[in-house]
Amino acid sequence: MNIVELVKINKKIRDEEIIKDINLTIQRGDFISVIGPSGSGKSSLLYIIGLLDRPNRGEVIIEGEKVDYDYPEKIAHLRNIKFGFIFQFHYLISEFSLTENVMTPMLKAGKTKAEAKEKAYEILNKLGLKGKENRKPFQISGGEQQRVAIARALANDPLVIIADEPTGNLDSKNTEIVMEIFCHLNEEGKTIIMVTHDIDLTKRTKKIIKMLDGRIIY
Amino acid sequence: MKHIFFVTLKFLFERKRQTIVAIVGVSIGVGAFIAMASLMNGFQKYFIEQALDVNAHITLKIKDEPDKGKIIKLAYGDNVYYQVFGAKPKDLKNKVTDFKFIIAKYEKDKDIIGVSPHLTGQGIVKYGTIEKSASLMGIDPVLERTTSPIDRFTINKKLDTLITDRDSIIIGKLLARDLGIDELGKKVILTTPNGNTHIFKVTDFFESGITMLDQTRIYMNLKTLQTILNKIDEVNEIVFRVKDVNEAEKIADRINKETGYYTESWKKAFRNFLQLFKIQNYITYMIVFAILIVSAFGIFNIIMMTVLEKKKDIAILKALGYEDTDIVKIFVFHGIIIGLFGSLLGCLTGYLLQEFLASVNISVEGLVRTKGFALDRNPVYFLYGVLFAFFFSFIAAFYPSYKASKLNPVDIFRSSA
Repeated sequence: MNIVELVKINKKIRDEEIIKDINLTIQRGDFISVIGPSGSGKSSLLYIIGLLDRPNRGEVIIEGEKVDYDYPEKIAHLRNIKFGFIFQFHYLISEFSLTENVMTPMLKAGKTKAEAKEKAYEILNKLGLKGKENRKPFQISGGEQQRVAIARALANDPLVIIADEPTGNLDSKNTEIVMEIFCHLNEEGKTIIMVTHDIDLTKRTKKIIKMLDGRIIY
Repeated sequence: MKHIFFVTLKFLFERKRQTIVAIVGVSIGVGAFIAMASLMNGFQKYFIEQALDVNAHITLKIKDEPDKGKIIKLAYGDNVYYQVFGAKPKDLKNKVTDFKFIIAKYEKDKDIIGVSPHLTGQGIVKYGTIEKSASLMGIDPVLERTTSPIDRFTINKKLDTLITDRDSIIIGKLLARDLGIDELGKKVILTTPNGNTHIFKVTDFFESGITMLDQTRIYMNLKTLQTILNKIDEVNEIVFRVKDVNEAEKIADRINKETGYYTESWKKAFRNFLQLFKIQNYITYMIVFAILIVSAFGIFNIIMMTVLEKKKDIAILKALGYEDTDIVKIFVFHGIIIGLFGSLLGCLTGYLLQEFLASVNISVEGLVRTKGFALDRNPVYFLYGVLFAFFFSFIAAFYPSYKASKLNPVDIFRSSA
């Protein structure tokens, strides 16, 4: 079943076309890696899939329903419950503890503080961060910070996990840990789309998309 | 809303130093406002209360305005342009002729509590070698009590001696001080403009707290003053005490229409002071307004700095599904919470400042005389202080909050990559 569908998507930034007539379907359980040289439009494609950015032309369809960009509050709601974002940099809020960082999207989704806290503990525990729940982001290692970012992305049990070079800032050991988590999540049925520069990592995904000059070439 | 409070409170409490600086800024503004308002209004209210008690709510008198063109008008009618140079002041007919009838009539008026006749004049009072000019006021002590709580202002409560001893006078405390009189029973010589000289015994001192009166006024029996001024059975003023002081203007107009005499309400009589108080209030509130504006800029700066420092956090919050309005609310609440705590602390600061001012034991001598500061401790100043702080905090927080909500997360992620 197609959970995300992109139809003839076009995106321009300052008159430069960075995404050109892209058609793409993502099915439940997919694990897709997106590769391509810098400036090929990989991240822009991810932002459009994750409803962080709107295309200049074309349609985005989520679970059979066309996205209407005229209702920003609906777009924000879809982002909150359907997508989980992981970036190259962890973007954890420094004033928040690890638990509070994971709780943030859940509170927005309407969970109570107690429910959000319980779920945050559960996810952090699952990702090997037990005992560190009340630490601040600067009190843990880079690999652990990225695992907290993954935990935050999983908080609302999203439809698709969007990862923009999630291992780009990690050493090989932590890269391996993150990839293990992704593979495990995919085995559990999670849909993942990941941008990477590392060809070796693409071997562990189910589908590879290569981009060049704003187009998907395979 | 819980997600808003959650993020706002975390931002606030994890950035303690900035938050405390902003709160202290607001509290200084609110505290200054409360202290200044209670000091200024306390002084003004004290003056008005004292003036209203000592002076009449309404005064009926002869208007001292000689009509220089009267004779020209008689000869040529009203439709003539004239200008009179070098006119010599004439002895005006300065008396209220039917004063007993007027007193009898208005004693029964439902809006009026008391009516009392006065004869006023000027004189020179001499004690030893010291001479001072004085404002003489002949009163009927019994009727005077219906128009003013005069006993409150006589230090030894000996107003009745004016009835029992016609050669007694009550003199202002400051006038007594200037003459060198510090005990009762001393004899003074009073000279009136008609050249009459009389010896009077000082039987009491008068202290209203209003410097201008305490420095010049001498009370004596109405009949005594009529005798020494050669104005037998004459009065030149009738004073009225009304039930509602705010209605004095209307009642004065009514009496004017009914009697034909010139009437003056207390508001008219004290218009110069009331105008002065208005200007004083403008100045006070401008200073306090400036303090509040400075603290508002403090809040503005702190929230703007937070927004600039937290661009990435704002971007990630948006990526996590927070809406533009959520971002506005987070930072506006930021400002409002600073305003709330700042105003609460400001109320405490204001209260402590009031306590301090109340405890200062100094003799204030200017327009009024008090021991210590006259404070108006009306709780409404606290309410106004809190409302002002809230308003300024909201305004100060709104613009940076709006700017934060308009940040595009994609631009921030791209620039960080």
